[in-house]
Amino acid sequence: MNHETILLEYIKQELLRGRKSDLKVEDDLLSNGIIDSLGILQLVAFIEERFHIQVPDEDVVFENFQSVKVLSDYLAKF
Amino acid sequence: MDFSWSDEQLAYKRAVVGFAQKELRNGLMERDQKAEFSRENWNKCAQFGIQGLPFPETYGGANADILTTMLTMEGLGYGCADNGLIFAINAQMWSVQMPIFKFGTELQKQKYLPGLISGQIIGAHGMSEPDSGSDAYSMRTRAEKVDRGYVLNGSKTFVTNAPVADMAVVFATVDPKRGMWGVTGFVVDMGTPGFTVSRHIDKMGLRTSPMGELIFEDCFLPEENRLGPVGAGANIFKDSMEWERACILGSHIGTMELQLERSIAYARAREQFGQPIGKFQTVANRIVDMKVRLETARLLLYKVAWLRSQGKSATMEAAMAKLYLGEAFVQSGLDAIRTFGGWGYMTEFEVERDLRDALGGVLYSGTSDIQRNIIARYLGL
Ligand SMILES: Cc1cc2nc3c(=O)[nH]c(=O)nc-3n(C[C@H](O)[C@H](O)[C@H](O)COP(=O)(O)OP(=O)(O)OC[C@H]3O[C@@H](n4cnc5c(N)ncnc54)[C@H](O)[C@@H]3O)c2cc1C
Repeated sequence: MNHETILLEYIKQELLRGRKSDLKVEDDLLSNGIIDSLGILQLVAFIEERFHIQVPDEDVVFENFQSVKVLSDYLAKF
Repeated sequence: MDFSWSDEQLAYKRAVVGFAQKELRNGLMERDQKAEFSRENWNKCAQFGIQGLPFPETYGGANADILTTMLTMEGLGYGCADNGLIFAINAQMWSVQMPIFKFGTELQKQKYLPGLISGQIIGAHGMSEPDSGSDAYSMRTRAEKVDRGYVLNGSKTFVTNAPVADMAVVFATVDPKRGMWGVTGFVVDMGTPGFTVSRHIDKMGLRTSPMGELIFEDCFLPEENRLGPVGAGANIFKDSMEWERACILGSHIGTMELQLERSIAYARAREQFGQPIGKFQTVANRIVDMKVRLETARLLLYKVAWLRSQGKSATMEAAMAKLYLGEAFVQSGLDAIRTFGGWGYMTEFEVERDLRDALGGVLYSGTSDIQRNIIARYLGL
């Protein structure tokens, strides 16, 4: 499974829990409050454990986390 | 699993206890009454190496690991009855020094860390506002982007160290519509035009730690005063809070240990109905509960420190430690007062002050309710 699929599944199942089952990779996760500040903490912890990488704190910014697509592109750099 | 401390760590803890007992006890009762901060004792701590403990030697620190740092705080809590001083030092270490060290440019580190560590300057941390506390990211303080920098407008309240600070780490939003993603960190020096510290805020406990408000009125800050990337402020703040929650609580463990020892000694010495009060099962049980609470609190805290020393994320564990220790410290203060009876209620016995100080711990660095929210979320609720 690629980053996009894994992230989409995690966000739908663990963070949204059925609230938005039609979530797309381009959907804005942040502006519409789909993921809140605690959700971001969980997402970063998940990424670090699942992909065995350390996300630098200063990289946790809007530009890297806005959508599943943007986040996957960011993770591809590791 | 290894629960032992090295001889070196234990020797350091003993040295801290000895230092605190000898050097930091002077005139505390009067200072508590008058809500007076002791710059002299602050400097003594800096000279002993407290402020610099986990920071690199390049900036005047001792390069200690987090476990040693936490054990040192435990020793400080045991030896130093001035919880306000310890709180003020921790506020600077974790929410001023640490974000500068982790997110600052080399220039910012060189400018501030040596002075903060040596005691030459004092730093404050401004996040809370009159209308945003637990919901910190809904802040109103604006940082408007202008040519070569930012203009800040707004105010910060409940700021520990503000009345005595030479500089502050503050957070402002570059765009309120972005919520947490607009929050951006800045460093600001006292004397910067448009930046003032207003009134001293009096409080119930931790009275020897000064508190005030920071006001920004068209305060221009050049680009080089930004701390970390634009929009990374929420994560910088989160990182500080995790450190603060782990280490500020270390001193609570030390204080609770002292409360326990004092309660045992009193329950053995004080006689009523022809026998030591410790022989009454209700009194003994209350002290037993203090002991069990102390040991469970200690284990939770050591686990957080260990996780962090392994470079692992410890958000839920830090929240559990903060919740449990904050509440345990309050309960321990109550139990000590009950054990001492009427004397425990009297200021001169120096038992009641700990309870007043402890109550702050269920509020600052995220209230107990907020810690429960974090834990619930991590449990999938
Ligand atoms: C001794 C002390 C030192 C401090 N030092 C500093 C400092 O140096 N810098 C700084 O920026 N701030 C500092 N603070 C401020 C501190 O961080 C805030 O007091 C704290 O975050 C709570 O915010 P609030 O006081 O506005 O309470 P509110 O957020 O208004 O909360 C009021 C009540 O509502 C509850 N509540 C709020 N939201 C929720 C929710 N979602 N779920 C359940 N319950 C909720 C709270 O738990 C609380 O019981 C300090 C506070 C104290 C007491």
